[in-house]
Amino acid sequence: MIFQIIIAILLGFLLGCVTGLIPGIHTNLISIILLSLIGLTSTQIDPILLVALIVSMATTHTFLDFIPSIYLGAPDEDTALSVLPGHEFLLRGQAHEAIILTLIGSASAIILLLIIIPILFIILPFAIQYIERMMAWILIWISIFLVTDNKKRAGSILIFALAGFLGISTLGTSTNEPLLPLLTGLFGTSTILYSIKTATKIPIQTTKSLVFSFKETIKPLITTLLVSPICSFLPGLGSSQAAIIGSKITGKLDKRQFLILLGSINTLVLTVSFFTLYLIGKSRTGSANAISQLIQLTPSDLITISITIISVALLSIPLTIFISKQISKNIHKMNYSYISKITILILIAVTFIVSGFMGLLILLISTALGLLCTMIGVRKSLLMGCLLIPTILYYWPM
Amino acid sequence: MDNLKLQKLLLILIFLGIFILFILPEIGRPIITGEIARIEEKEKQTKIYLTDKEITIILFDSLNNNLETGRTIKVFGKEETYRGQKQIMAEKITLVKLK
Repeated sequence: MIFQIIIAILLGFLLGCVTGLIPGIHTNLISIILLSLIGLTSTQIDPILLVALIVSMATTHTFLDFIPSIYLGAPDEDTALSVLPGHEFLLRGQAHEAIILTLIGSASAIILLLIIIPILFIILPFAIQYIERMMAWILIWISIFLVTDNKKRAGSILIFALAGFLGISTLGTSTNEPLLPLLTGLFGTSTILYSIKTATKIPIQTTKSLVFSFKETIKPLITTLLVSPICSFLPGLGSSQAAIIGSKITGKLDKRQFLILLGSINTLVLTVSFFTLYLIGKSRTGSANAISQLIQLTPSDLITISITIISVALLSIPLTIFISKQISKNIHKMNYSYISKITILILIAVTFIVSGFMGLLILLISTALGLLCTMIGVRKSLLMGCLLIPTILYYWPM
Repeated sequence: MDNLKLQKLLLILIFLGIFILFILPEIGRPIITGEIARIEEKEKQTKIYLTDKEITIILFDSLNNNLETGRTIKVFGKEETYRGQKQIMAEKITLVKLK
């Protein structure tokens, strides 16, 4: 059995590399395909092997997904906020440094997980009933916070409201995987199109050793400890929103600290979600949701999950550094505009295959909204109104 | 094209797009979604009963092999009343999720 689990972890690791590095291919998509295949096949597979595979894939993804986000400007919803600071590092020739900073965050998240889990076991089962009653109000407070945190208030309200309407209308369609075109357009294709429009030229990148102090990491890690547990079971909130809220709670963070924060929150929100699934039966992330459809988690499954997370983290760190170094050494030689266009074509193809013509329509509208957001000059995190507003309506006490 | 013009164009596209997305599902919206409780296959038609729903689904087409008790389906078609009982003349049935 141990040998089979190792194989499942390695397979998940490989899939996580694919989903992390190729824009538009998210772990949620692979999980759905996996569940569908299991439904079609008559072969009996031990569910714990699939759990190990999904946990391994999703954890690997959180380490690698900053690479397309920072080098190509093609993020998923969890790395959306890394595009701007990451792009600045890229234009200064320091994209590799930005990747290392997110890695420091992701690696620290694994240690933070060990601190958070015992606290969650004590508090969460009692607190969840009160939180659920207050859910709509908490999300409204977060929405107001996100909107008022921008200098351009009118523009922020407009973008947030439009994103909300777009979310409601998209989720009301019978499109397969509606979030794929929605989030790809809002955060992916729009960013890449804008970088093509502004004719970005990539300078030679440096891959020298990163100089950072332990002190520099304390503030982002405390922030992560405070906000990640909440965001791992609050629907409609991504890692990016968690990062904004967190950075407001603990005070101003510089760009390096912000990247550490994004890395740690990204990994911690995911890994904590497996434990919240066990504790309260709620699955906030797509991967935890897939697991909930496979198995009723037991304490021994949590041990397998913990071992999977730690071992995959140990594999992902050197791999991410290696891949980032290779890209850094070569990206200035490549035609960035050409790479961007290829990336957009991949995103369109994936959207069409998964969500069909309706998906393409959603992709077009969400791309337009993402572009408008960038052109008006308000934070892209406001676009998460596409999930926040429908979720508020869902939890609204009738 | 200057930025302001482009922003206006994008805004129009977004408004129009959201409007279309609101309208389209009304055209293609399933009449009912539910879990199959029972299936009755006859020579020319199939009747599907859903759990906790009083409506009967009538299908004149051949039954999809994947349809079986316990699966959740979306039913597209026309709602009618026959001898005081509500029924749906199904044009298309799709599976919501695999069990």
